[in-house]
Amino acid sequence: MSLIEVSHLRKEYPNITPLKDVNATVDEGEVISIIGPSGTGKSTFIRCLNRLETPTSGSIIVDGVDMCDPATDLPAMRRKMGMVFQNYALFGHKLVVENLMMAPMDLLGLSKQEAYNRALQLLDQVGLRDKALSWPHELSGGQRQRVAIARGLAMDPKILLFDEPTSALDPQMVSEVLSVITGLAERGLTMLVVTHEMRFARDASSRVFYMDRGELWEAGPPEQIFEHPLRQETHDFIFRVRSWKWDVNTLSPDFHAMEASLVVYCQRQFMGRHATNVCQLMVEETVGNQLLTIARQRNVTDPNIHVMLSAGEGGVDIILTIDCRGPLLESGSLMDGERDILSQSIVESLCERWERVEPGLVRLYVRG
Amino acid sequence: MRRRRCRRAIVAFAVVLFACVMFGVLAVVPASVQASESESETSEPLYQTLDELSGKRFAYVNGSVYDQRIEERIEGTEKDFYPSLAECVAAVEASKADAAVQLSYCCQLAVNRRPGTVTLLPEPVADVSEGFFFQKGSSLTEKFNKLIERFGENGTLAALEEKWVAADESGKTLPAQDWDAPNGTLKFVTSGVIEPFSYVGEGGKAKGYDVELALLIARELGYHLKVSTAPMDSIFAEVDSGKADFGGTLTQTPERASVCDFSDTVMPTTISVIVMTKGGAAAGGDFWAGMAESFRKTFIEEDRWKLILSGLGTTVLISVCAGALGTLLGFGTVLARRSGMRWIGKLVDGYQAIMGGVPLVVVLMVLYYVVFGSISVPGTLVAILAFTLSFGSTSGSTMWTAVDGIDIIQEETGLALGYTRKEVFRKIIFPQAMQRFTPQLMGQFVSLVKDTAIVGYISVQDLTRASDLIRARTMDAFFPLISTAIIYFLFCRLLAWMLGKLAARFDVENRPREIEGVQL
Repeated sequence: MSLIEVSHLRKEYPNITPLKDVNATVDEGEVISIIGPSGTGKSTFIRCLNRLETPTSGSIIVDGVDMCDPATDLPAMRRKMGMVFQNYALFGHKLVVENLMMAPMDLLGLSKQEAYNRALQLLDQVGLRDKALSWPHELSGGQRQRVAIARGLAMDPKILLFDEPTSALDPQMVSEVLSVITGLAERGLTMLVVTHEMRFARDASSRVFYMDRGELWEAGPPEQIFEHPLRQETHDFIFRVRSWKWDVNTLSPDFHAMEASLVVYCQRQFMGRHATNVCQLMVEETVGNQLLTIARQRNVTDPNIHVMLSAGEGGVDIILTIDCRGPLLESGSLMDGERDILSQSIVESLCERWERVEPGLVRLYVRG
Repeated sequence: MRRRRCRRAIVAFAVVLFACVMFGVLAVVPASVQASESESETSEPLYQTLDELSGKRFAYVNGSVYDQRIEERIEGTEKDFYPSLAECVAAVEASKADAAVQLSYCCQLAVNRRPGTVTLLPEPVADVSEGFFFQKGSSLTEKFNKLIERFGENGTLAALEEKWVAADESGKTLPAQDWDAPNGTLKFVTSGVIEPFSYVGEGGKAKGYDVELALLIARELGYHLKVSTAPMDSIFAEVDSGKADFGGTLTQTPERASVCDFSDTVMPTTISVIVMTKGGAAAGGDFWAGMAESFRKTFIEEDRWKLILSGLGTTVLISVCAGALGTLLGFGTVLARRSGMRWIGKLVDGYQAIMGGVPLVVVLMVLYYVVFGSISVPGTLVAILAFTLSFGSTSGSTMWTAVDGIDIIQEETGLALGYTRKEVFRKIIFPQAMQRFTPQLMGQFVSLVKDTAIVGYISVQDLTRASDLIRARTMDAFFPLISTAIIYFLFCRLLAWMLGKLAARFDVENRPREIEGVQL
């Protein structure tokens, strides 16, 4: 028998149905990453598991107990399943160590000394022992989230639920929290993690759930989901989160917004500082300095240029694709004598090599 | 740390501001005194006959009907009403009114106490008759009338009149109630601001012509007498609602006679008009000596400081009780709102809407004269109830705003750890909300202390009412008012300071960073 069995789970609100029909089982010791587009019921699913949300229909069996039965002692069941939220929610009126001591003393009957010892040990595990006597508001976001994880562990749960634990954090703090969660995964704790960190999903989880439009579309080991997805929806999603896209439909596009989203993507893919700078410069050079200048000269008001960046495992094999086969190519050749305009000057010196797939479609390879 | 420094700065600013205002007042008053000295020395009245006052502004005491008598004789007058003759006289002195009207004996006393600034029109302007009044259909009326007639015939009334209007204060005492009272106790309510008929003397006890006459009648009828005072505008309500058995004395009018029964006239008398002297403002004399005299009159004479002290005690009693009970009530509304039951939430909404939309003084009077009209409940208790209801509403919404403002994630975190909803509230939500609402709640409590100044309306003698009663005796508006302001100010500052200390002690940020009772 599995530790968690969910069948035909449905959750309706008056104007939206985040969960339509979810069926899933989780065995003891599994680490499940739940991925999928925003607003598709991932959080609702995980919140149904410990009954912070009440399902409309369906059943949830945790450790042999029906969570939807009105007779179930919910507080007792919840003690078996810790939960870590996106916004950490440390108790602001308690010192860090007291955040960890409170629930074990109140609910598990631990003595103050036992709770204190356990709290210090857990803080040690998440690398924050010297912050034991700090106030929560004195910690950084990453530190707070690590305390929140330790607080969940202090109840010695069988299951730990994570609801987007790194979404509210700055990129450099993401890794410190992820490494703590990865460490837990290796210790055999059953965990369900709603996440946008694909690298974590691929490297640290035993199985991945792909959720979309209120349903569990595909569940399987990370290699399956990331390399050979069985369903088209999964494939499209994985492809989308792996690549960065920018469409230029005006003669004066918002370069600041482009730059910001490009940098976020590069950091997510663990691309180095240098590669990030190169990608940024190449986009500005090709689009800003060359293609838009041509568009202006030829009076093309909607150049319709597509820029796409994709990166392989660990931030290598970076490919920048520039596609201007639309109105810009139709207005005239992009060849300048023997050379493609796009390969000129600075671009050529920045990229490792380049390739002209067809007129108006160029691939630039960047060193990772 | 920064917040504290900021608060200290605000306090310092308030003190400086207050000092400036006081200095301004003290600076202006002597200037006007000196100006008047040089201008004129005459104490002739500014007007000689009533006709000269047509079209002028008159000051009357609240509940007075003398305006009708004046308007019968001259036309086009305007009128304002004040709590007692002292304020009327102050209005004339400050040229806010041209004339003040009251019973001739009272006017004569007032003029004697403000020599040089105000004086009387040479002739009384009308005859009036004052009587006790009773609930409609009371059997007392007939008994009173018989005794009043007998006292008139045997010279008792004349002796009383002579005693109470005499210049000599020493003989003006009331007989002790040492007689047997087979019929119980009669409750008598009087204004306490119409010297020599009804005023507050040593020890804050009411005395005067009306009071002694009421005592003599009670003795003849076999009762003891319990005397209380209430503002002019409230004494009708006191009798009408049955809080008192009879009141007085007042002038009988047809309108009043339709609500209450009146006794026969207890003393035929006249009304007079007070006007400014040609000299204008206060007569000469050293300003500081004047202040010393005012201080003596306000605090020392007849041990009036005791009246002020007991008034302050009442103010403190009402505000502390209402503050404590109101906080509990407010906490109750927060629990009610959290119960999640919709109709309870609506109930709390309704209660807070009523308390927010009806003036507190009206709530106070409705409670006293209507809700508890026929039940004998001490005014202080009713005042505590009214202010509890009021403070419960404001403190409740302050607390709810803070509780509601705690991130929902805090609650979910608590639930996810395995706490019940009640435990989450007690251990996680409320302690954090308390950090937020405590400063605001303390400010509201200090406001409550000042708001209690209206309890005089239901005949409770608090600090403000004590100052009213003293003003009615000294006929000096300035000094008792400023003294009251200073006492309130000092008391509120002291309270704010103590509450601040208390709050600092409970502020978690000030606690030491250590866990008691554990070893490393």
